[in-house]
Amino acid sequence: MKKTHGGTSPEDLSVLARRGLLSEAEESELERALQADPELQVAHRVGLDMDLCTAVRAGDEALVSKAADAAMMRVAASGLASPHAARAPRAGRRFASVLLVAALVCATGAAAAMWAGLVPARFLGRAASGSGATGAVVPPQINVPPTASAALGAQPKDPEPVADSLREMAPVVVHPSPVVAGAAHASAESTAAALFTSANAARRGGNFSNAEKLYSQLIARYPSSDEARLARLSLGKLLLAQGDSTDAERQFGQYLKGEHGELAEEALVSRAQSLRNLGRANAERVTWQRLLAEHPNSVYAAEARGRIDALRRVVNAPGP
Amino acid sequence: MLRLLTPKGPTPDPAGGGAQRIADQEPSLSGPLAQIVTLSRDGNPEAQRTLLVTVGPAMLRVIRGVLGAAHPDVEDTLQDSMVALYLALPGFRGECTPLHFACRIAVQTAMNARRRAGYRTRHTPSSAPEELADLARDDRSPAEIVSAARRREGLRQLVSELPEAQAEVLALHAVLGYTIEETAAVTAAPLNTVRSRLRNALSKLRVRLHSDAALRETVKDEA
Repeated sequence: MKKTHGGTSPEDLSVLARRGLLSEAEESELERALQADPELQVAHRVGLDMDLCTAVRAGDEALVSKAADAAMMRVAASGLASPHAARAPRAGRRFASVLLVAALVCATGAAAAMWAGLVPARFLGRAASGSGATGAVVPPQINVPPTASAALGAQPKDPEPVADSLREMAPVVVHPSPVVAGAAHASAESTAAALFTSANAARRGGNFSNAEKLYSQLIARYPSSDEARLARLSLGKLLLAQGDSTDAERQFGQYLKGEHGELAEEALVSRAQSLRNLGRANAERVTWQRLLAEHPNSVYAAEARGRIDALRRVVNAPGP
Repeated sequence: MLRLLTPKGPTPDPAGGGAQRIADQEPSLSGPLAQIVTLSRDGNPEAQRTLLVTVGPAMLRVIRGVLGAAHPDVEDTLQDSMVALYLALPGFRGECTPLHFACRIAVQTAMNARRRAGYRTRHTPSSAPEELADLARDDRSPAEIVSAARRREGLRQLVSELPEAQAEVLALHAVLGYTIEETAAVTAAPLNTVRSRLRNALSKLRVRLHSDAALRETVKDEA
């Protein structure tokens, strides 16, 4: 691993490029290094892919908050919450063993309570729902007794609710189910999903008219499905790209009418852009303001503020 | 300045006192999270929640990187990582920033989750909501999307197969975008050791991705 003329290793140049912190000279150096080093080239490419895939999404804040609450409840339920217990790693193996037993007792007790219906599964957060990774947590080697953390991670699994099982099985149901209503619902979901996938494929393939048709079909046939809601957003973006801002704005508006979807942020931005195209300055300003109010940490916040300022300047500008 | 967040629902023993203690206590660490970490170690539930919520987004990012954004275990692994962070906190000596410390825990927890998922057979719904959302918002060409997904999956597979030390360095570098110096600080390993581990891991990554003919072409195209 040779260092570049500037003293920064090529790997670090790649990292700094991902953070947007390279000078022009460093950019050239990175370019040369990428040409010369196929391993670096692959690593850089994958790093960029990762940056795209791990970007912050709407709804992350709620997800993190929920996980933090659930984690704290797990810690509290395990008996490790007090400062002394939290310092268990220093107290030696014997104490860790005691903690393990205590945590297991706690976990099995909680499981029994859930089976008996005394404690709702949601009390222990999603990890106890039986749908997630509830195996042992093995934190870093640093001062964490694997036994204690494993005991914490070994959350009891509650019995899978019948409705959830049906929902999960829905896409692969082939034989008639005795639960007729459930099966019908499953079939509709499956078809809505298939339509949505086909529409996306058509859009990506550049067949926009077919994509529009499929999205519209999906919305008409399964108006209350999750896919239909997302289809409104995709259709709106298609229409916006084709210059049909009126219909696009209508689709974004429909998307935003329901309960807050995880793409509400994107829908608001697209709606504001549609309104801008339509010259509806007031409505555009209100939409940007709503974006800032509902998603203050949005990546579009700067754009929103810029547009609000610009619109204000237009309003305040002296007439000709 | 970070503000303490009040935990929702049942909380751990609030023996450590309230937010008032922030002003009274001398931090043993430095950096913006130092006081929160100190109070968290003392068992202050408000500080603990504040810490988890503050470092949570970065941990979530790591977990998505290692497991995949639409992986069904993302949320549970985040929760597991937070529990592990809580347990590891008393041993944190400030060798790196609390954020880096938390991310390292998330990397290791996610790597373990991925390794477990390797031998656990489970049903995954055909259209997870996150996946649908990704489809709706992704504006890249189909070829780009497929290539990027394959590269990411190649990296993730490698992370679950490599020796732990190498896998960790690779994940910190490729997923989190840590420099060698940052990785060395986080893993408490000498710089040269980190360089060597990274170089070995990258070499294997290249072999892995080049064994996929389609990906080999895309890398060539971009060269």
